[in-house]
Amino acid sequence: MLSIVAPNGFSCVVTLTLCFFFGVIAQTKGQSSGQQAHFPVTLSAWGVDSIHRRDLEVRGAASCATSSCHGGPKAGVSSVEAPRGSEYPLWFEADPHARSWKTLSSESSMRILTKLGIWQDGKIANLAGYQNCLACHNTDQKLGADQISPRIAEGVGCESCHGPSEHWYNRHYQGKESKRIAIASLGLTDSGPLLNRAKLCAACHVGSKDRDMNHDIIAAGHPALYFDMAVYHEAYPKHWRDAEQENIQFRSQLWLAGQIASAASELELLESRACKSLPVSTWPELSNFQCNSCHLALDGIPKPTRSSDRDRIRTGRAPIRNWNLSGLSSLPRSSNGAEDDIMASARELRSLLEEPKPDPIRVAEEARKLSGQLVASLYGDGKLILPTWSRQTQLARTIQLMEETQRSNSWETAAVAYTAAWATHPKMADDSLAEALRTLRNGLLFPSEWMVPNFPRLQNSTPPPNLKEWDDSLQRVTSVLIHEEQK
Amino acid sequence: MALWALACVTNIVCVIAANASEPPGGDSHAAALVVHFNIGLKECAACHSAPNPIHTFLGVTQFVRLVEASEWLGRDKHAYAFELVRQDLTPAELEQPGRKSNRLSIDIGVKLDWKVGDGNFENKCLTCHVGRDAGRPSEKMDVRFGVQCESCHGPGSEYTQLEHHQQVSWRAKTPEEKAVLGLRDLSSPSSAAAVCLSCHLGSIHEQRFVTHAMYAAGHPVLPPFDLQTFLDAMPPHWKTLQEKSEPIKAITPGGPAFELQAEYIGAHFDIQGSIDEIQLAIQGSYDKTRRSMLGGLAANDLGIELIHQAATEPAVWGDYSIYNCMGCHQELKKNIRSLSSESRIPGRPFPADWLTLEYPAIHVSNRERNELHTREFYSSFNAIPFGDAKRLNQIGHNHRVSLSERLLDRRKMERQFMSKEQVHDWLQFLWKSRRDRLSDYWVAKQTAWMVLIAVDELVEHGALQPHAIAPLRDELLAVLRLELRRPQRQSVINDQKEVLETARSFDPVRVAELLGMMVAAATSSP
Repeated sequence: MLSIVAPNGFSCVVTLTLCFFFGVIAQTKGQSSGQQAHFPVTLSAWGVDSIHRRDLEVRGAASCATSSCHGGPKAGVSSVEAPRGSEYPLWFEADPHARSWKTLSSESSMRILTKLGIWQDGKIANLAGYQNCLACHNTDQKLGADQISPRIAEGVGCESCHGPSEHWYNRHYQGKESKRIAIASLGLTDSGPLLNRAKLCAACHVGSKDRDMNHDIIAAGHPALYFDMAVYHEAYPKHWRDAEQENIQFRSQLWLAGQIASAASELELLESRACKSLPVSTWPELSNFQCNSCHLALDGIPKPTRSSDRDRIRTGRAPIRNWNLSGLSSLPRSSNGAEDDIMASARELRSLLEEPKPDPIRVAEEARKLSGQLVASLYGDGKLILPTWSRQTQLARTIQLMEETQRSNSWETAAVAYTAAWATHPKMADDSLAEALRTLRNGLLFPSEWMVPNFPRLQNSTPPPNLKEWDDSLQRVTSVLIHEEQK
Repeated sequence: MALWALACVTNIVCVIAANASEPPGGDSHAAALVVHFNIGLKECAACHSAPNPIHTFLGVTQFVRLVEASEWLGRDKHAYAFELVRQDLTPAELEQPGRKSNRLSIDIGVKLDWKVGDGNFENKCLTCHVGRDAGRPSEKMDVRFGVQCESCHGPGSEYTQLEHHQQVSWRAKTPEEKAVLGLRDLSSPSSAAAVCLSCHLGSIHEQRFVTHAMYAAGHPVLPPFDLQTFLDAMPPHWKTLQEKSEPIKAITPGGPAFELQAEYIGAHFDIQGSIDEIQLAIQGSYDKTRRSMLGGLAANDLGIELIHQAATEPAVWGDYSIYNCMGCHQELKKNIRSLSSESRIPGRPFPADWLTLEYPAIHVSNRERNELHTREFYSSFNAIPFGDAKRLNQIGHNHRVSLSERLLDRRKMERQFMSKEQVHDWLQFLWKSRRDRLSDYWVAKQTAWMVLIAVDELVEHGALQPHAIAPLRDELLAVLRLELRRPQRQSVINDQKEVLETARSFDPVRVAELLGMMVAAATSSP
């Protein structure tokens, strides 16, 4: 099996939130306003609002863990195949999220906290900064200046994703309708629909209005975030089962949900940063740029052999990070041309951000507008609907990404194209395609001397492909996809 | 107004010194506002190419070598500054092997979308590559001569008049009197450094500013600055202080030769006594180290001034070139050089570290307040990424006010000879203030240049045994690639690759060891 995350790679990505469950129906506050153009509802439409509810009380994972509820079979025998009821031990034993408190209190994290001035002289010196860490690293995000929550050491527990259980912990199992009611009005999150699920992950793995992992924190030592839903979902020790998971389209639906949710989260974060709504946020924010826009050795500036980034590189402009926004061009074509508006807004946003002094007010406006357009394009029947891709659409999109990669010199574009191709072909029937994909993957890996902690490294035994081998593989993958599309 | 107000420390030094008893401000600007005209290199070359027998007979060559223009045009790299970047060549000429820099120059223009005749080449390149003053009539400066006499010495319309610099009495005029006539005092290290730095660091008001776009399009990276190291690399067309103090045989038989000599020194230094005593004092003084030190301090002031100028110009503010290159341009490898310090928030761009040089021994008036201004200035880069222009503007203004006081202190220092003890103190200061910041190549290089100047001068004066430092010296030269090649062999473009490779791969721990041992050896010897 090919995966962009190496077998032990996931343990490096221990940081953030993930924890899903079956849910029933999306609840939205924006049902009544169905207009298309400037859709007023952004966040609440995603049905994951409860994870932002800091007013509700978190009761802790232990309260879910009684043996008759989610604390079922002993940890030693828990597995994906185990009967339901083993969620807690599975999470506790195998899920990296259960270790995220340990990560946050590790020696290297304390160094980060010290560099950021959050931890000084043996105590927390910047509460807002620390709460920004807790927002992703712990279920309970409330920390008073003089109080330490008893659940502080839990890590990312059940309620991080499923919502604070103050109102539903003793009601969600009482009768057939109780779960639906809990979702509709008591703050239980509906993690069933892939779009909701992806948005839950993206809230931390990309960021959101109250979670800003910015360049200051990266510079102090935190890994940069590169989230891909399909890849992470594959590697995740799941405490649930998806009915559709055997469907050949499932992985690419996950990929699409991830692309859309990442874009939505990025826009939410961007707006929050531009408005400086969190004390930790800064403007201009350097993590809006691709890392290697600036982090290239003075004598190592690549001579672009392909055209698309050449203009920016040669005039010293920093290209913005497109990793989370590339999903916008994956939206399905519809008759009313909404996605043309979206692409126009996305271009506008990009050019605003690439100004030497990006204007925060205009960026916030454009990000807000784009969020609205995105939600509007997905909105129907009182909720957000993940477009269902036909095999044909999915191939066409992957081919489009492959062709963009051939024109550009960008690692980001190439890596997005690779994940799309990987999601498109869950079963590697064609050996030569598998081989070509492997070469593509190896070309995207980083040599071991690089400081990119959440990326898999190139093994010393496998020399990286040269550019020609890599280009040939790109051609090969593209032509196989085109061939299949024409069939 | 702003252009002249403080853009050029050259003028300030002279003018403020002239008004030393008054607070700097109002009056001084009026004097600086007199506009002089350029007359062109040919006028200078009429005398300054080769001494004729009459000059020799009259003893003029004892004051002045009179070979300046020929030395300059024949041997000094500055004279080729235009030739190397000219764009009006035929395709056949461009193909010739020596035309690499011209091809680069054209390439930069193409990448930046400059068109022939749109003024970009003239206003953004030739301000340095010819050394034109922005806004000063300079039609007479023939661009083909590159950086030329008046680019540094000042516009010659006034001081070249018959009644001025050709008179014997000119010798005894003070630098301030000469400055009023348009001649810059290049014997003053601060003024000389300011002239060099207006290009070698940049000045936005003088339109001498390499933008980040220009670097990205291919302009070579500017090195750090050490006045004496740079002077040593130039073919000298001047006389050293030592040479200037040598007795003049006779201007007219029985004439006032010794008095002239003493008057010249007296116009530049606070010293009294017979010519023999003066000569002895000069022989015992450390003039090179003095230049190196004062040049470094001028760079510190002008670095702040440049950033202040950028913060007040909305069109320039945000240009990446005012920041430390290595603050961003490091690949994210494990051997990444940490340039962080306690006073700095990680991950935020900050100005070039080599510019920071606060030598407390010099700054005596209001030292604490001045230091506070400098500290505030640099700490305002912590406020938001890229720095807060509004705050910088205010702090920069305060800093300008304290700068004028600093210049007065500097002026006092300039009029003193430097003693061996002062050289020791300077070396120890350099070591202490720089030892934790040597992982920045620019800091390491400038520090090593300055240390070597001082150490070599100690050896020259017999105050240090050459064998005590020779191996350290050789290793330091190699590790940091310190040597500036003689102009004929120098190629900025070819050197560039090696320099940047060294910047990335040199071992700062070893450099610190070498500098530490060298400073210890130099300051401990009896």
